[in-house]
Amino acid sequence: MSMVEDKKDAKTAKAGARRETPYPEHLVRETPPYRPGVMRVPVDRFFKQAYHDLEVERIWKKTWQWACREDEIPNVGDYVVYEIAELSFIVVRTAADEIKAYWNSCLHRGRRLCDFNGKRAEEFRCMFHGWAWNIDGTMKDMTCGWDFAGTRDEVTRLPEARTGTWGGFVFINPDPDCESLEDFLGELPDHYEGAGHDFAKRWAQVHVVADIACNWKVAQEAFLEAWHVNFTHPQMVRTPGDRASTGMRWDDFGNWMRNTPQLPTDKYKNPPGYATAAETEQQVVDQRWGFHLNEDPPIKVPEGEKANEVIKNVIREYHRSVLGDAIDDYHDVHMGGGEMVHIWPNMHPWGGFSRLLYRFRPYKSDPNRSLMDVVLMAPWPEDRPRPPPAPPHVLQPGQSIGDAPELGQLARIFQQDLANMPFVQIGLKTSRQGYVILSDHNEAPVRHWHDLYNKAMGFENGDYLAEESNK
Amino acid sequence: MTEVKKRALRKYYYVAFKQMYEEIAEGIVKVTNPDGRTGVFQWNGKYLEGDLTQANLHMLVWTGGPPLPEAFSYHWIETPIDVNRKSGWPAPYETIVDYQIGQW
Repeated sequence: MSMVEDKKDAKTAKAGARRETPYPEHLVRETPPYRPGVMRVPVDRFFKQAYHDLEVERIWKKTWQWACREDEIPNVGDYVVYEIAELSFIVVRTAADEIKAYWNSCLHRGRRLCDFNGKRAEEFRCMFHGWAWNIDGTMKDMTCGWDFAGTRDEVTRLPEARTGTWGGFVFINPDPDCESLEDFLGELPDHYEGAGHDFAKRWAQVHVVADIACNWKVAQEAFLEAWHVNFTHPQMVRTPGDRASTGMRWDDFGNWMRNTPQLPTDKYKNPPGYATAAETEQQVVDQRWGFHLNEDPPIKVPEGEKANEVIKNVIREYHRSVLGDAIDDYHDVHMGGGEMVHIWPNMHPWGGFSRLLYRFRPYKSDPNRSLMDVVLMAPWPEDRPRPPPAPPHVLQPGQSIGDAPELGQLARIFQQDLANMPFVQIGLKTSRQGYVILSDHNEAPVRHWHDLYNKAMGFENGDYLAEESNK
Repeated sequence: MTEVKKRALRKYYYVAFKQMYEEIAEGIVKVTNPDGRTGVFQWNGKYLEGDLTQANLHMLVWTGGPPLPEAFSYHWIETPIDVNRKSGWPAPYETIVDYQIGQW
């Protein structure tokens, strides 16, 4: 037997063993189906100012939220201006192992202290009358302090938001009495790091911010469930005769929920998948990479083989070029893209080797406008210096996400989602019915999200803002 | 209509409705029904001409929506990476990515 054949046999044997490997523990971990039943949600919350104003008080001032990445502020004094609704915070590295966040408002007359992200700051000085604080938040310079008798104690420190980190993400919570980030996230870190997908080791390769003419909840709900894929992304089809494997499971972990493919190990029954069956295996590969019929597809399914196997092998071999043979430590189930996580209130990292990460934010005080961050978190070899994270490529209002080609085919997929969102916003305002209906299984994560929303907003006993407006 | 010459026009089969969607000019899509009827639409869903007067908006977007530059025609899982380059992007893409980011 030649050396080449030896190597080929060894590789085949390893691949075979890989497929027989038990499913990853974090994916086998299952929760009972989410509270059964449909849900009716009043439409008012998607466009009325009163909801936006209450969200600022009860969500954005009270909740852990992803503000930036640690590698955006690698050096002492580096800072990011994180803005959510009409609130603004300075997130600054104050020591090699310490990150602080301050309310971005001068304690004199309230001017925003920092207007842009910055590097190696030694102070935060207000551009109105010149008061300044050190980066550790202590008062540095109270210009004309003699004129403010009896007030120095009030301005000696910038008010702080709490900070925490997970997977290289910096979170803040403006509420000084909040639970710790560790308690808030629960077992989430174990699910990623335990599965060998530590975000702290990944590179933020692409960061696009789309400005969308709809409420931030409308934009987000387009990504909370996968059912819309069947109609909004009709080019996506499942392999013939493989309906069961496209079924999905929702796991509820409190402040976060997860969508995974159904596994043979599942204890709880879920409905089979709904995706349209392709007529040929090649159609599945074509849709996966966006190949069209006027081109010779660069990837072809050999006679008698299954498209899903071809896709997994292509993805595995691609990642081998980045991670080397360490890729063989990962189960085939990691090669797909069907694992999504939704962290309350607005962060969506995917699982496995999907690079997708979304965030949805209200745009300043406008309940009819939102910002959607799309970040691609790429695996990167540990023994090579990691490139700096991509700065945000901010699209202008109404600008096509197709103008962010660094997203690749994903830009075209988002064009389909964006062909819905502004029109959902218009339709919700027009709604004579006055509410939307969320389904039992396919829209369970949207119901889960609205349950958390109702709790945060004080709507456990009914949406009193909607009731007041409908009197 | 502006003829598209520099890239291959896109053509997709819509499996669920057994229809063919063909880009015939920039932003213009011809749809052929299994019964032989055809219709021409703008990529945003507006009907232009033909016996077939309705089509799937999202197939129109997919077929006739703004095209990507050829260099970026990859799927997100496989977004190119070059671990040997400081930027992380392969050389052919690097300048284009810098240009894009420089716009904001």
